[in-house]
Amino acid sequence: MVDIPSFTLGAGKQIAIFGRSGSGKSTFLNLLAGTMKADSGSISIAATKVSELSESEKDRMRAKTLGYVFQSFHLLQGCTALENILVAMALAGNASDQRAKELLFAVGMSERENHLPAQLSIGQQQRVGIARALANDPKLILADEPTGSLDPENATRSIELLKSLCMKNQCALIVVSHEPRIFSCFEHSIKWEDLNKVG
Amino acid sequence: MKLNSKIGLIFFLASKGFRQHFFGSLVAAFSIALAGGLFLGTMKIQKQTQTSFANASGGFDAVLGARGSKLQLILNALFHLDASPGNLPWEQYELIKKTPGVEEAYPIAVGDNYLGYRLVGTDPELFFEHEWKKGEKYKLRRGRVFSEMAKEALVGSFVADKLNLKIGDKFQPYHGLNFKEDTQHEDVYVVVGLLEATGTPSDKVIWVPIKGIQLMEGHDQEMAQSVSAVLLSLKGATGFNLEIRYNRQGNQATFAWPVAATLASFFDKMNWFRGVLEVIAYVIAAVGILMVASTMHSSLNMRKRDFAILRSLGSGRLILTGVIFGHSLIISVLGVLGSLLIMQGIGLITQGIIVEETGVLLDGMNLQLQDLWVIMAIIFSGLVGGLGAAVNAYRSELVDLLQPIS
Repeated sequence: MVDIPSFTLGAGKQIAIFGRSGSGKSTFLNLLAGTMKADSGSISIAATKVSELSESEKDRMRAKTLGYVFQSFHLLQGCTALENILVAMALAGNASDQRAKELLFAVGMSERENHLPAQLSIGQQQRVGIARALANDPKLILADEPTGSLDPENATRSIELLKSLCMKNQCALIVVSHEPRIFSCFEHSIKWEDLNKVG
Repeated sequence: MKLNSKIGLIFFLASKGFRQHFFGSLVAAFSIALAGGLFLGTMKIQKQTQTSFANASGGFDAVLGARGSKLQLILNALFHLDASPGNLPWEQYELIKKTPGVEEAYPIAVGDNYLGYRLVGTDPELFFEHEWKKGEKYKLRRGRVFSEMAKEALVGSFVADKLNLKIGDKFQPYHGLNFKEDTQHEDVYVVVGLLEATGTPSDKVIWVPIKGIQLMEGHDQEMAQSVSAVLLSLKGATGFNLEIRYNRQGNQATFAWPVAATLASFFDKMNWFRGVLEVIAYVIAAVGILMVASTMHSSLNMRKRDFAILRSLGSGRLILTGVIFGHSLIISVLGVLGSLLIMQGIGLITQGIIVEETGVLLDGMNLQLQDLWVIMAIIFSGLVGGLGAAVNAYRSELVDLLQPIS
C-alpha cells in the first residue's frame, strides 16, 4: 500500500527516491504515470490532474508529457534502436527521423541505430531506453530501477547521462532505486520510508 | 515509413510483430490454411464431381440397349464403366436410326480390351459429325480416323499417353472387358490416329470399326449381327415417344433417357455419401475455427509484453487494437492464400484419381462467389482470435506485464 500525504517536484528538478525492493516505489511511479488508479487523493503533472483524466487522455498524457525508463529497458524486440525511438515519437504524433538520430547521437548510439535490441549490450540497451524516454520532450521522466541490470560502472554512467540529458531538455526526473550508491549522484534525494507513510 | 499516420504506425508495428514472431505466426497461418483448404476442397470436390459427370455424357441425350437397368446402360455405353447388360439385334439399330426425330444414332460394340483399356467398336462418322460438347467435334492430335472395314484403331488421349501408343503401332486385343494375359485375340490392329483430349470417358477408350469387334476372331456368330448399345441425339419430344415405345410398351430393349436425369437420380441415391462428406466438411470447419482462434490467441499472447510496452509509451486502444488486428489480418490473409493452395492441391490429386478411374476430368477448382463467404469466415475467425488477445492486452495490469526480466 502507498500513502503519500504530499509530494511536489518543481519543473526541471531531479530527485532520487531510495527504498528496499517491494516497498511500493514502482506503484508510486505507476500512479504518477496513470497506469494504476489511486483510491483517493490527486496527482497533477504540469498543471494536468492525472487522477481526473479518462483512460485515453492518460494514454495521450503518457505519450506527450512522460518518459519512462525501465529496469529491463523494455525495448520493442522487433524494432531497431532507431525504430524504437521513432515508434515512441509516432505515438505522440511527431515522428522525426532527424530528431531520433540526434537523440541516439546524444546517448552515443549513432553507430548502432540499425541494431535490434538483441544485438546490443545491456548498457547499450539502457542508453536506447533513455533516448526513447526523451523522444517527445517530456516534462517528466520516471526511471524505475534504471541501473538494476547494469554493472556499477555502467550504472553510474547511465545515471549521469540521464541527469544531463534531462537537464539539457529541462525535464524533471524521478529515479526510484534500492541501490544506495546512486545517492551520491543526486543533489536531492529522499528515503521512500520518509515519503510513504505506510509500512 | 509514414509513422505519423495512425494507419502507417499500425501497419508498421503489425508487420514488425509478424517478422519478430515469424515462426509462431507461420504456424498460425498454416493452421488456418489447413482448416480452410480442407473445408473448401471437400465442398468443391463434392459439387464438381456431380457437375463434371453430368457434363461428361459425350453430347448424347439417350442410349438404347438390352433390357435392364438404365443406369447400367449409361455407365457402360457413355462412361465405359460396368459390364454391358447384353446385346441388341442390329435391326434395332437400323430401326431407331430411321425413326423421325432421331438426329444421330451411333452403334457401339464392346467386349474386348487392350492391356485393360476398352476397345469400343463404332461407326467412323461419330468422329466427323458428332459434337461431344455443344460446338465441339472430336479433334485429332495425329493421324486419321479408322476406315470402316479395316483393322485400324483411333486411340483416346489418355490411353495413348498411358500406353505410349504411336501412329503405326500394332497390337492384338484381349477378350473381355478386363485384361487377362491368356485371352489374346489373333487379330492385329494398327494405330492410325490419336485423339485430342476431351476430358470425357472417351479419352480412356481405343476406338475401332464396329465390324472389327463384331467379327473379331473368337467371337460367336450372334455377335456379328448385334450391337451393345446405340448412342442417340434426339430432337424435340422424340424422347417421350421412344420412352413409351421401348420402356412401357416393348420388352426387348431399354431406352435410357434423359441421360442427365438418370445420372442425377444416381447422384440422388448417393446423397447419403454427400451428407457424410458435408458433415465431415463442417466438422473440419468447426475444428478449424476453434484451431484458428486458439492459435491466433496464443500467437498474439506472445506479444503481450510488446503491447504492454506500447501502452506504457502512451499507445491508445485504437492503435493497440489496430496492431493486434493488423497482425491477425496478416496471418489470416496468409492462411487464406494457403487455403487456396491446399484446395488446389486437393483438387489436383482428386482430379488425377478420378481421371485415372473414369476418364472424367473435373473442372479446375475455381473460386466462386459463395467461396468468398468461406474466405471471409476464415478471416473473421482469425480476427476473433485476435480480439481475445486485444481485450487481454488492454485488461492486463501493466505493472504485472512490465516486471523486470530476470
